[in-house]
Formats: sequence, C-alpha cells, structure tokens
Amino acid sequence: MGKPISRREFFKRSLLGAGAIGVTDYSYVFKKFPPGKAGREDVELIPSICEMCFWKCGIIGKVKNGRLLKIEGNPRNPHNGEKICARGNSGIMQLYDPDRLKYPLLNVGKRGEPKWKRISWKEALNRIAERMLEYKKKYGARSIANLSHGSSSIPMRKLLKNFGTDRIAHASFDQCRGNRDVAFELTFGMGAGSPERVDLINAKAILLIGSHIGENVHTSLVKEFIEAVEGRKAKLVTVDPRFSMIAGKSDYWLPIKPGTDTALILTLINYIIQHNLYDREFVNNYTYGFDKLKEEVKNYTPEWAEKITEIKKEIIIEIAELFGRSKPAVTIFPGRQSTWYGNDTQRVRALAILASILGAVGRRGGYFFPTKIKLKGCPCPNKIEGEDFLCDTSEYPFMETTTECIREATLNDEVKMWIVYGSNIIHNTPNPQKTIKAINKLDFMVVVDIKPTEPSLYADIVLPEATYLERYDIPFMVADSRTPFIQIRRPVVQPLYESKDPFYIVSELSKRLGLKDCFPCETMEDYLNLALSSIGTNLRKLEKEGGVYRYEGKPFLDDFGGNYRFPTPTGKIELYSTKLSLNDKDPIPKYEPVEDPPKGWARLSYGRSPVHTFSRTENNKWLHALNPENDLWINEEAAKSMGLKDGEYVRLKNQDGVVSDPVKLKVTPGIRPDMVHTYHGFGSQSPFLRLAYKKGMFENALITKIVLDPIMGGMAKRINFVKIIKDGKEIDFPVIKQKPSGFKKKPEKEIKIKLTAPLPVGGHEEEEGGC
Amino acid sequence: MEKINFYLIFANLLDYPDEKKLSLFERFENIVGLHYTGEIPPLENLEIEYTKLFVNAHPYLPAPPFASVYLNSENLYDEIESFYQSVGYGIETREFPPDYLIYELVFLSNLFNDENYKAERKFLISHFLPWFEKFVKKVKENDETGFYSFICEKINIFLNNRLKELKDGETNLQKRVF
Repeated sequence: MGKPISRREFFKRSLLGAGAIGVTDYSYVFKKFPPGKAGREDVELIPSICEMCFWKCGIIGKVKNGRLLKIEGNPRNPHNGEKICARGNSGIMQLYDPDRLKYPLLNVGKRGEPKWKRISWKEALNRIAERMLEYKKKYGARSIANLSHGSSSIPMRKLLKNFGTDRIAHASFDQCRGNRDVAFELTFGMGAGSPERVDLINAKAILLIGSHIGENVHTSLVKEFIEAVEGRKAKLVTVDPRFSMIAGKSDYWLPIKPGTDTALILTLINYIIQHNLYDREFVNNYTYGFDKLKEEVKNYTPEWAEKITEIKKEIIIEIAELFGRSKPAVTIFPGRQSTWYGNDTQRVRALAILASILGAVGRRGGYFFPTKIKLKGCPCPNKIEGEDFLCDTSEYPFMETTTECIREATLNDEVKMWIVYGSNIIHNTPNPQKTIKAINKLDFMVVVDIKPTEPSLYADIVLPEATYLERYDIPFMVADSRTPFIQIRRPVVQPLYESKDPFYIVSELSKRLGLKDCFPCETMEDYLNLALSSIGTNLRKLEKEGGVYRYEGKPFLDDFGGNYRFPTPTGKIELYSTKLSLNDKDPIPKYEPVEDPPKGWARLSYGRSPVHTFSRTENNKWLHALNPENDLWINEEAAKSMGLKDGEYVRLKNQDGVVSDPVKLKVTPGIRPDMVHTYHGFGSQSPFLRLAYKKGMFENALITKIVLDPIMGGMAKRINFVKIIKDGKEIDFPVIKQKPSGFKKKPEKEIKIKLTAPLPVGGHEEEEGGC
Repeated sequence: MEKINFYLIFANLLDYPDEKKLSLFERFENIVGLHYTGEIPPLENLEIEYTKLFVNAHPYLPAPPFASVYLNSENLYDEIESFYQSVGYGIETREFPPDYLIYELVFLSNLFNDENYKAERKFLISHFLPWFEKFVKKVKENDETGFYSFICEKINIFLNNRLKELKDGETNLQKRVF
C-alpha cells in the first residue's frame, strides 16, 4: 500500500489525471417516460436451458423490463416439458444473489485470507496471460493445469489444449461417474449417457443399486420413474443400506451390507444363467464371452451371497426370477455417482453384464442407444506438447487426467499454475487438506466462478462469470434420448455487474496468448450460427421456434433392422472384456471384499439433497430456506445404546483424527447400524457466502482416505470411518449383528380417509427423506 | 465550471474510485461545508478499501451497497421499480439490481433536476434514508481509511437536513447546484 498523500498533492494529481473535473452523469441508468408508463408493459418469454444442475432442462424465463420475474419449464422440451424442480424455480435467486462475484478481483493479501482489490477485466486478463506465457517458456505448457466442472468450462479446456497442456481434470470423471462410463465403454463401446439412456416407461422391472432417485432429483427421470412405478406398476427393487425415499416406494428393499453390491449382482447373474432365465437368442447374437462368464460366476450362489451381503437368499432368488420373467423389459439402472469402494468399475461392469444377459439392451424397457448428429463448430485444435501426460497409466489403464494426478504433480513441483473453472475443488475432491497443501505450492491460481466459493479464497485472481441466465453456451445436443434434440442456452437477461460469459474470457485470453486459430469466431452468436447451419437453421429462427430443434432418433435394435454392431473390438457386447484382458485386469468382474469399519467405528456415506446441487446451491435464498443444513442419519438401536437423541448436535471424528463441525442427528430405523449418512455439499467454509457459511457439516473434510479405482483412477470415498463426539467425549459405535434381511412390500389395500376434525392450518410433518 | 447537483456528486464519490471521480471531492467539501481533516489515502488504497467495504471481503462484506440487505421486504425490487415508474423513470441498464445505492442516488438527482420535490421527499423518507443510515453505520464501523466514513456520514447529515428543508417547504427549494 502507498503512503498517505498531502491534500494539495491529492487534488493536483486527481486534476492532472482527469484533465478537468470529470463527473459521471449516469444518464444511461434511467430513461424518462410519461409517469406510470415507464418501460415495457409486456412480459417477454425467453426460452433457454437450466443449469441449477447438469440435467439441461428446458426453461422459459419470464422477463419484464429487463428483470427476470419467474422461471418455468419449456413445454417444447421433450424431456422436462412444463415441469422444473425446486432448484430450477430458484435460479432467479442465484441470479440476484447479493453475494455473487461482481468484478475481477486481485488478491493483495494472503492465500486463504484474501484482501481483494477490484481490477478491470483488461488488467486481469493481461496478468493471467503474462503468467501463462512465462510458465510455458520456463517450464513448458504442462506446468499449467485446469480443474473444471460444467459446460461453461468447455471453451477454457479447449483453449488450454490449444495452448499445449492436457493437465485438465473434471470432477465429473474421477469423483462422480467416470467409472460407470468406463465400465459401459468397455462393455458396450459407449458410456451410460447423461441423461442415462433407460427406457423406464416400458420397463416391467427396475433395479436400483445405491441410486436414490427422488432425493437425487433430475426432473425428466423422476417424472418417468413415477409414471413407470406408480402408473404402469413396474416392479421396483432398491438395494440400499439406507431406507431412502425411493426405497419407500419400492416392491423390494434390500438393506445390503455396504461394499458387497458386486457379490449380489454376480449372484443374480449366476442364478439367471443356471436357471435358464437369460435371453438365449440375444446372448447368442449380440454378446461375446458368455461361456467364460458362466464359468467365472458359477460359485456365486444365493447361499454364499446371503453370508456376504446380509440379504436373505430367498429374496435374492425371488428377484432373480422377477428379472428373468420380466426380460427383456428390465431396467438395470446404471447409477450416477459411482466412486464408492475402490473397485467400482467392475461393479458397474457387473450391472452392464446383468442387463446384457437379460437382453435388456437396445430393447424396450432396457437401455437404448444414443443418436448423434454432426454439428460444425468454431475450431480450436489440440496442440498438446510432447508425449501425452497422464498419471501412471500402466497402473490405471483407462484413466483420464484426474484431480489426483494434478494434485500430485503440483506437490512434485511439476505444476505452477491452476485455472479452477466452476469447480469447488474444496468440496468435491476428497482430502481437501491435501488440495490446500497443493494450492499453497502453486505460484499462481485463477478461479472463475459465479460466487465466492472456497477456492476463490486461495486465488490470486478471481474472475466473475455470468450465470446461465445471462449467457450463451455451446449448443447442447441431447443425443441420449429416444426423442433426441438440440437446444440453445441464451441470455434471459443482460449480465449483472461486470460478469462475463466464458466465450469472452476465452477469446480475450486467446488473443493475448497469440492463439489465433483458437475460436476465430467473433462472437458466441457467430459460433452458434455456424453450428446451427449444419442442421439448416440459425439462432434467430431457432429462438422463434421455442429454442428446441428435434430430430429423429434410432434408439432400439429394431431401428437397425436387427443388424447392429456394437462399437467394441469384437463388435458385440463384451461380457468378457478384451480390453481389460489386454491390460492384465480381470476381464470378468470378481467379488473382492472391501474393508469393514473397525470395532467402534461406522462407515460414512453421503448423498444428495433433493433441493440442492452439491455445494453449488447452498447459498441460494429459497433453497436454503427449504434445506439449510444436512443432518446425520444414525440407526435407532445404535443411537439408543450410545445415549444419543434425535435432533441433538454432535461432531464426527474420522480415522485420521479430523473433527467435523456440529451436525444434527436424525435417529431412524431406516439405516444399518454399521454406517451413518448425510447430504453432501453443506458447511461452506467461505465466509463470503453469508447464508451457507458453516451451516451444516462439511462432510468432505472427513473423507481423507482415498482408494483409486484400479481401472480408471476414480477416487472412492465411502471407505472412511467415523466415531461420534458428544460433549468432547468420543463414543464408540456398538457392534450390532445383522441377521440376513430383505423387505417386500405388502399388497396395497384401499385406504379410506374419513375426516373427523378439520385439517390443521399451517405446517405439516415433512415426509422422511424430504422431497 | 459545470454545475452539477449534489446527488450526482454523492453518486460519483460512492462509486468505485478513480481519479476523475475523486476530483469532485473538493466540491463535496463545499457542499457539506467541512474540510476533511484526515490523511487522504492514495488511489490504490482507496480501491482496496472500496473493494473491502462494498464489493467482496474476507471474512465478510461489511457494507453491501444494496437496500435489500438492510430492509426486510419480500417485494423490494418491485416496490422500488414501481416508485421509479410512478414518477416517469424506467431502469435502462440491468448491470445492478434496482436497489443499488448509486442508482438510487441517480434517481434522486433526476427528481431534483425535475424539481419534483414531493417525490424526492417521499423517496428519502419512505425508502432511502431508513436503509442509508444503517449502511453508514456499517461503513463507519469498518472503514480503515476514514475516508469513506467521512463521506457517508456527511451525506447522511446533509440529506437529513435536506429532508427538513423539504418538509418545511418554505426555504430555499430552488435548484441548489455546486
């Protein structure tokens, strides 16, 4: 900071700088109208795409006089139609959140305790580009790494590849659904899709393993789920150690011992094969390695599985027969967040194999195929320098660059600069303590976000991005659909403050980096018009037509005249994976036990709140009002023996001695006694987020132990154990032996309600599990 | 010298500082009739202080320049915009929400130029001063330079006097420009 200056000097300088008295007259702020007639009277309806989560629901913004009044579903969108969820409705409170980032900021204080100075975009981008060029010259382009999440970070990733670095990791791969998609790639030659390509509406039976649909709200999926289960009476089997909301709607609830899911799935496969319940014709025509599979799984019997999974063998058999009877109209739900116990790719492979022997692929009621079309795009070619960088690929053959690779490379001084784009790496990456250690080794860190989340506390420069309601994005092709379509995100209102869209950030940066071949399009509108010209339309026309372009899909085998070649090395569904075999990994999944909690400890599990998207929405005023903090599910019997009561606050301590903030107990019979469960994303550590700060428990801080998936390097998180701390004292979890169980819904009786008294006015008891 | 109404001078001085805006400080002193006795910080320090007070700061932002932070109203944006519209003004730019301090001062400057003293008085009494007083308190508690405390406190006193003038309705209600 400079020294104080004299009064005379002050006026001299300011006059010299301005040349003359220079008042800003702000005449651009208001326009004059006859009284009462100001502004537009009509409400504009502007179609766009939601981003309160990543499901890409179509929305309509109702805008009056430049201000967003309400968000509704876009009836032209074939998926969500007129429906949007609580988060979709609350996008308006993200746009008008007073805690938003407003200007580029330079940290002139310490990392972690920033002192910020507002700077211009020009200065911010100049500084960033200077650093990038300096590090490239001194250490090579790979000394710059990117950690990102979400579609708005795509242009930045492309720019960085053009600049020469492939140290680019996205949270959705190694902390969420990477192992699921690798498992599907290995089996079918294509990922599981997002939206997941499941034909629920035609399913006669559905299997959910660990998926808590309804708490994990993806509007079109939930909509179709309700229709399938409630409307068309598909039989639903939910495997979950917790009585989740959807477990409550199921025909079967299997409270499985955590970590043993693969044992259950392999047993179902074996039983279905042994009892000729599989689809013989489909297996012969479309799969590879059936005999090897049959041999490999032959010892996985229901008797064996009962001991491992703590699910009654009779229930396992009943379910296997249900699926056999219902084939091929069986949806084996692929799951989404799948990084659980450390060998998760093989678990999802087992699910894919189960679906395949039931013939539930490319068939109604099972998985369907994506239909992609080619769109032109404004080019930004990859120019990765030297050999491909990855972590030790010999160990993890199907790994993409992961956060863990980047963290390790940073701790080894190979990386000097991070660009963190829309990704709360403190909340989404296990062992945040290690992440902060790596950050402290960096020379320079840039954060692009819409809110001052935890990473921004550590940044040297923070850039305020426009929210999804204020920007264009690259075109979204929803190919993972039976009725595929292309839709466009466009600004519903003009960007607030000095927030800018990703295209501006990246194109301005590319100019400064001398990368003329990256995004030569002048504007995002040009980019979109180029892309849309591939399908004979343009932005203006598409917007007039409601923002959605539909095209014909080929979702089922019938659409290919029964002559379909899967994009795998053998051209068939690989029950036996040739790629895994070549890489010395088990070509057919095996059951491998995972570590049980030691005596006195319980496993920590986590999931999603129905009204939040991780830590991204915790500061949203409306959503915060609905669900301000997470609670901790604990088994009733365990709680009783530990002297714990529902509603009281305790802390957790994990196996590495990390102690949490206080968390409220939810005592329930609906969870096994060897685990506890909470909602992810709460307990923000950023004091800039005034609603979310320290509300609830920051559960990611307790996830300090990680095991990497041996096939793709994903970070397993449900392998951390905790004890309870109450009034400063540690309380051990009791050992409560579980008898094999499994629950079946009783036949429904007609319920007649007779009102004997008027309904109470006001609050009602919330249904368990929320939603 | 160009004549400017005092609301506009206040808006300039409470906006993000640059040399042009700061050049109005001497005129400000004339308006409030007091010389600033503290040390005048260099521009960079003012930029940092401004960011800390009004933009983003660790561990929390002391004085966000938005009415909704200080007032408890569900429909504040609508209420403010209705007021703007009732006297013939519509917001043209949406860079900030309608309750932004600078916008409200600019609005008051427009009323002043229009000689719409009735509306000026109503806006000050029913909306602006109630939250501005709370805002000034926050600035005074947190400003390390003293510069913004001085400006805010003097504006607050000046506007309370102005309100009395408007109430009395007798005194000098002709255009006061500086």
